[in-house]
Amino acid sequence: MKRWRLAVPAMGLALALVAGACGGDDDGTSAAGGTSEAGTITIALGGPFSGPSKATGDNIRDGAELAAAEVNDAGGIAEGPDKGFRIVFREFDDAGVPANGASNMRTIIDDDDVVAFVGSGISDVSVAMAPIASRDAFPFLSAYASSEKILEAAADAKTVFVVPPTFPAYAFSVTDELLKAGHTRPGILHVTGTYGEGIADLVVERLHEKGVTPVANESFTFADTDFRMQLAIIKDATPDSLVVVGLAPSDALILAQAEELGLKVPVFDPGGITNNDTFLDAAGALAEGVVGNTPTLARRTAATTSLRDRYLAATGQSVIPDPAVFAYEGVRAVAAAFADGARGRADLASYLHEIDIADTGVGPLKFATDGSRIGGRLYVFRITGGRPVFFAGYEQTGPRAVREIPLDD
Amino acid sequence: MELFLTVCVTSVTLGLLYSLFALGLGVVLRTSGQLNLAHGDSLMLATYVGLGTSTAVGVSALGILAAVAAGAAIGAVAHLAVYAPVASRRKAGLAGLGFLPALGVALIVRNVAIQADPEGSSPFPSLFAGGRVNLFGDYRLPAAGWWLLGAGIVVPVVVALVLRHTVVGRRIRAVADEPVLARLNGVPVTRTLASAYALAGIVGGLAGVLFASFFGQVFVALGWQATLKGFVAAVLGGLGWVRGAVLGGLALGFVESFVSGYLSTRFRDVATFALLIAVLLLLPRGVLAGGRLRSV
Repeated sequence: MKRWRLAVPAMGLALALVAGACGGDDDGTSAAGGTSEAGTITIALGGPFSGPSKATGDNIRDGAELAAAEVNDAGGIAEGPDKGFRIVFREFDDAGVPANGASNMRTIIDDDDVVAFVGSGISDVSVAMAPIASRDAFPFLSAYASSEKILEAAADAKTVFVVPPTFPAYAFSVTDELLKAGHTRPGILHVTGTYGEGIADLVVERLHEKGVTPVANESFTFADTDFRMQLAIIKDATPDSLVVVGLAPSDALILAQAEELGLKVPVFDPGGITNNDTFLDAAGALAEGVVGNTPTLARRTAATTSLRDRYLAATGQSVIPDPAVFAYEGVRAVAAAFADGARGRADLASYLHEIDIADTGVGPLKFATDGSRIGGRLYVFRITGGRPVFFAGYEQTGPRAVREIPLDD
Repeated sequence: MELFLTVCVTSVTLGLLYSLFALGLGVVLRTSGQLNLAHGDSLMLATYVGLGTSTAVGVSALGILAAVAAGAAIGAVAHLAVYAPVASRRKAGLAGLGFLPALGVALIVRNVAIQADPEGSSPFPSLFAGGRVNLFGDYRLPAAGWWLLGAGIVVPVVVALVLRHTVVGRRIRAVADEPVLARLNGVPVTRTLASAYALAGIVGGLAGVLFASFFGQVFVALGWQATLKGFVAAVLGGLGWVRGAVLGGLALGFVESFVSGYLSTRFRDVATFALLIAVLLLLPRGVLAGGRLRSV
């Protein structure tokens, strides 16, 4: 009888823990385009497949699966010792939590079947994972997370790559357009953490280079939903523009609350957040006039059109979100390295350093010796009539340098 | 001046939300002696029920009613199915662990919500009629804000009236004062406690849809946030029935908003919890309870 008295609360806790486990990691293998008897190349696909950033994780999966389907449908890896091998994924959900990402990385490295990691949607997560991968010389391709700190954290071996342009390109492209529009009194509202503070610091740096000082620089956390005090402080400083660095749901709430407070100034998003349906749907008419950036859509090359058409056919979405674009390129990079002769995880990174894809649909893809992308592009748009209308292009020419390029380049 | 007025509006709106969170926690705490750690998660799930209902049926009022009903149902069922049976079997040595069943319920409820909304947050249309109205300068308070101001005043009054003038309310107060004596006088203690949980759930469900309508979003983390803020407000208010919850919530709203507006938003939570610790150390009955405990 006494045992039963203890058993009831224990059962409650056990049930809770079981329920907790149900909402946790989703670790399964998915075949994109079918598996092969000949052999498979297993890539660990990571990202926030649950939690507040699930949309980013879903985009990463869509982009990666599109690339794998292309390779597999064409008969597998095109050349090299693993010719004909098909690409399969093993998914690791980090829920946007750095500790989960680090734990996943350990599991991934211990799995001899996995040759590389592609993914991660949050810079804090990539920053936690990259040093572990680097220590074991494991190939790690950060898709979407683009802080330069990811590369700084991976000092042990040159096996870490950042597929998107890094933060300076994001920050400088939109900041330059803000300055070109004649704004001299921007207010800044950014989320805390590597992503928000990294981009915001670079915006401030760029503004200072041009002799402009932001009139206010406020922050919020990912858990916040009430931004009225930060916006009131910014409004009190009489800004002529507002730079917002957050995620799609928070950015939409910020626009709504800015309207509530009567803060009516042009809004700039340097974080590449506003080019997706999550933001456009949530913000509705308030999104009109927002200036943002994205690596794709503006180009009209054959590869871009083809990528857009294939993504539409695969997902039904006409807009290719940024996480999908870079996950797509990450998988394409791994496939290209195997086609060039890589035999497995041991020599994959050295082949990744040598790849040179003329046009993935996003642009040319090759990496510098530090693992950053050479010549990453970003295109700046203004949301007009509910869709992005592009008006400027930028190319990253160095770790902290961009140059303006024609839209069709 | 506009910043000051904005801080005041934010203080009142946040404070009234915190009051409603604290009100539900306070009713259960006073009646059962238990801190209902599942209160916030229950109101969060009830808010999702409200969203689902209004979306499916297309009638906002039904969404509000569904949230309120779900809040009551979750509270009552949790008590009858978990808290009451566990309490009746609890060993004396485990008295300090009375919060564990509520913690288990909170985690279960939270995971049900995660299954319903894997992204962890969803846009929430305002379920309250009306448009934005100018308060001062350019500040235009949305309709949900006006409803929040009204509910923040009316709901505590209604709860106080229920507790004073209805049979259920008198039973709740009797059980809160002397559960053994109440039982000896024929009060069905278990059912009365379930009523208290249901009453807390009704207030919680309404608070949830007000919060979500006001901020345009419902999210899973709202549960823990509501429990935490409600608890702090309840402690500040002296863990009373109604007055303490209202005054504690408003006090918390003012502290958070003025620290954010005139010191830094980064210090908001630091100030809140520093104040909580100071109150627990120096005025354990709460700032607003004075030197003695108060009833309704």
